[in-house]
Amino acid sequence: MSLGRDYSGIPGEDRIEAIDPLAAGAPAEPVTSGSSIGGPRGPEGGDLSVAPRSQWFLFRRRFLRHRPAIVAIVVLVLLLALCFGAGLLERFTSLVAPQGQQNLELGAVGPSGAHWFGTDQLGRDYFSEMLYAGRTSLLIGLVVALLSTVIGTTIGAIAGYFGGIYDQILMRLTDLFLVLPSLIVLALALRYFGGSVVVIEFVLAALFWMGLARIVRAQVRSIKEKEFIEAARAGGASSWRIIGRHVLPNCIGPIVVAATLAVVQAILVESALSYLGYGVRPPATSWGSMLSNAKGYFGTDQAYLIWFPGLAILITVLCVNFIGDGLRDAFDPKSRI
Amino acid sequence: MSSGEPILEVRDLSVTFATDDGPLQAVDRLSYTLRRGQSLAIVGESGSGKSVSSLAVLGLVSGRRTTVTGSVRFDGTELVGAPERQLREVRGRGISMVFQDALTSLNPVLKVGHQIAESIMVHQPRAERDAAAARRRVVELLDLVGIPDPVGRAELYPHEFSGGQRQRAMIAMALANDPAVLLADEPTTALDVTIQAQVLDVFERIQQRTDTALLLITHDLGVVAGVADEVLVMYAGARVEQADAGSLYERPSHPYTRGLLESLPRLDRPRGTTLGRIPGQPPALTHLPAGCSFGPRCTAFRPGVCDAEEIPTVEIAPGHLVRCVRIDEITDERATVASVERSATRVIDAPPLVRVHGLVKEFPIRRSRDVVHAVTDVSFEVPMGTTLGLVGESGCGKSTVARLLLRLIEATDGVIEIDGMDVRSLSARDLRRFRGVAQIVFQDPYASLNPRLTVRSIVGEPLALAGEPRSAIDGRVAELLDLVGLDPRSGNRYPHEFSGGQRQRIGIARALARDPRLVVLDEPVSALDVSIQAGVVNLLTDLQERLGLTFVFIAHDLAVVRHISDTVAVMYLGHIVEHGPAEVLYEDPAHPYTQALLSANNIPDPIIERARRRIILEGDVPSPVTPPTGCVFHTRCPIAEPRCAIEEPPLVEHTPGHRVACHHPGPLPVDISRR
Repeated sequence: MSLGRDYSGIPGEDRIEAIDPLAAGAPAEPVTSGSSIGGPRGPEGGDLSVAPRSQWFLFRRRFLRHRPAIVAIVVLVLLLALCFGAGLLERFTSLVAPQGQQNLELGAVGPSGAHWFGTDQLGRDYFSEMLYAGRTSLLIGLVVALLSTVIGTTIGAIAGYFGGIYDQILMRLTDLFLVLPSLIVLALALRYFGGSVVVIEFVLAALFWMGLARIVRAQVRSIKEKEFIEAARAGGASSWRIIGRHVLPNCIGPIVVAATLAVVQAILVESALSYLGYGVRPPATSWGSMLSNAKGYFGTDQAYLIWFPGLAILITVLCVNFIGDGLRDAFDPKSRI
Repeated sequence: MSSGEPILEVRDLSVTFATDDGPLQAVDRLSYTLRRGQSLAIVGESGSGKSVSSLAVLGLVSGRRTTVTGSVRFDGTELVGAPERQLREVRGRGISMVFQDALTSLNPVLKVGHQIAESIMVHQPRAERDAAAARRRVVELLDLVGIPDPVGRAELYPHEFSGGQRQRAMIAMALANDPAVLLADEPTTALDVTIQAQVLDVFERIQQRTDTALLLITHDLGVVAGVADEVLVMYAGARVEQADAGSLYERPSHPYTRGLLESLPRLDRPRGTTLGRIPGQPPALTHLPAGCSFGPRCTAFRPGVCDAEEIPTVEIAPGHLVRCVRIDEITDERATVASVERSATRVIDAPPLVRVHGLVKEFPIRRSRDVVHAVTDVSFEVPMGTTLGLVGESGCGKSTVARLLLRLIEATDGVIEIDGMDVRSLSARDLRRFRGVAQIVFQDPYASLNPRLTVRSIVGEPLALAGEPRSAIDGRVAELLDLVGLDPRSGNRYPHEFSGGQRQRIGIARALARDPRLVVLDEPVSALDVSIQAGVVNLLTDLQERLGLTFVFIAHDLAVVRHISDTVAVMYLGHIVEHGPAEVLYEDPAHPYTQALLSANNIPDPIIERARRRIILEGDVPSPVTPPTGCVFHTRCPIAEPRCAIEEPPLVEHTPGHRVACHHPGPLPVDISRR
């Protein structure tokens, strides 16, 4: 008997009294809304008779109780709305200047009422430029994370669940992708296919899925040995149903973490590419390219040119992180919230 | 034996953990005295505080959120609050410990003798270390724990020892410095019965040959019956009863102790007795009920008396302590037992639902031409509405048979016929139908339910897969939950909100969802506490009678199998060695392996237990990759002859309906008794 196993469950131990099986011949009580039934109460006084609720409802409730995740969603949605609504703002308000509108006489001045984030060396309104650039960066970050997660999870799940020859082939493929020098591949691919945002997204996704595939494979291999998988097979479930309903939901933790990291990585690698001149091409900009354009101003009066895109990347990353946290908890029925 | 001087005196020992739900009282004013040469068993279910109390004795429970009060005096020295250095001294030489998972505690790259010698020498001052003396002591110790050829064996590596020998080597190591107290925490729990018998034998030898006091912590009242002089029963952190073993088993007085003993399936009781069960669950240690903590589960509970105030501990006979306020009123009541008579023997002339003939399963080994012979030429039939008990030690192939019956794995050869269907050649459509006919319940109530799904989704999954509409599923799930004794409204909850016994009931409800005819039960109660186990066993027998189910019940515990089975098959190394009606097989076992298994099983009665002869099988089950030639059991058989190593005995009828695979079936000669 181990100490941990013995006591971990006890404080929250449920208290429904087992009905005497010999007396259980009575017709089952109809399932009605729990609120009308005075259900048994635990020692903690909590009402244990819960009304039938969909799993989606429970998921949503657990997610909504995760404060940081909710704040992060609000911030991220605001950020997305601002960036993608920049065109509209430009047309109907004076808050945002047209993209690339220069004012060479003004030059680089610090933040003020007229230019919230100041202007850059060409006299462009830095706030407006940030919004236009944000479209690229956010899109790359989120799309790459999504794509690489889908690829990695699929490959990892197939390799882990079916094993054997599938495992061999898919894992050797993963190894192959892992040993490719990613920056060189990227540079070549971008030169060959052109530096459009879509190409960058696909190339980055193609280079980011391997870690996740390996993690998912390991998780799947351990989960598929659990007895509830055999129970599902004995119930007649197909392999795909087992993967989708029984295996992957139990891998959600590492998947969410990896997806969050992929957002960050994608935004940062895109900036590195921009720095090398392979990223998005002018006139398109990204937070990464703004950061690399401003790198010379470190320690000067124009350091704000570095801080603002840096801060934007940081905020995005934090938001995605918190949302990931919230999702992980929401997927876990054991989280006591 | 209990006349020795006190060596370990525990007085009012309490352990409290601060948790987010408030203080958790793991041990509540526990007191006992252990004398030199005596053996005391602390018995309790999980969560009773038995392990925490023993760790507290060693000063191993500590931390900012932990409070230990009371007194622990070892040989006159107070240990509660003693400095760590002093505690280490006591742990090494005064009290030594044998852990539950001792099998993994030996270092695989060092010779066994070397490891034991090391544990002797680390406690000696560097200057006085004497390797030769240590080596002599190692041989002496290995001999004490009954390892044959101790001189030669000391030079072997752990993997060259059998499982039982490794456990014994661990005990030898614990005895290395002649401790005054040997503390064994569930020393036999993870072991097969034949290995368990070897270990219990060692404890008896220690008792006979040394004056080391033995403190046994266990959940199994059967195990301690033969070894312990005195037994202390714990419930919810407190002592509820303490007495010498004889009186405790003969006159259990606390309703909880009685309940435990009644709920224990016994080898010496025939099928047909309903197990007593203790209703409800142990209380949360953060929210103990007022007064008697057993009150809510006690049938003798009297409001205003039992929940009023602190329950005193009374001495009902010399040395027999009971913590019950109504002890004088309830002594004669058989309070906890709700016994229902059932037909003890049943007519087994129903047509067979399951027919297995010549079943073979071989698992290939990666990168090798060898195979694991998991199941070899197994044949049996299960008449409709009856239970076949499949017994054997771990690795004998019984779980493989379960999975073959359900076609969760593919057989290598043989015929499986269930309800008229040829299981091995089902079309995809027939397989779906088959899934509704045969179902399985698993051993581990924690691993067998998907933690991410609600109970409704889990129980309703087979129905959803069969294409039932959602509305029908919800009603059926509520009905099923009610059928297995759970609140029909608990469908929205998740598995982790249920206790082990309740989870097992959920697993049973899932198996019954599509009204199967055959349910394969793969060790369904071996992970549960005794009082909970009885409830599940009773539920199963009750369901069988009401629904006319056919069971294949797999277990390593012969007592449970006897309780539930009509016929029993004993497996060894992939073979059925004996198969017959339960009564015949248990009363007149004809195969030496069955006889050894039965003799290794413990009966919770010290008088029977001490008088019984125990056949101790040496060594482990051989590897199924290279099974022995001839009779697979000949390597461990006490009556093996040269012929047994060459000629494989066929499974033939010994008496009508009773099949045995042995060249010398029948009772063992008397001179083969315990050493």
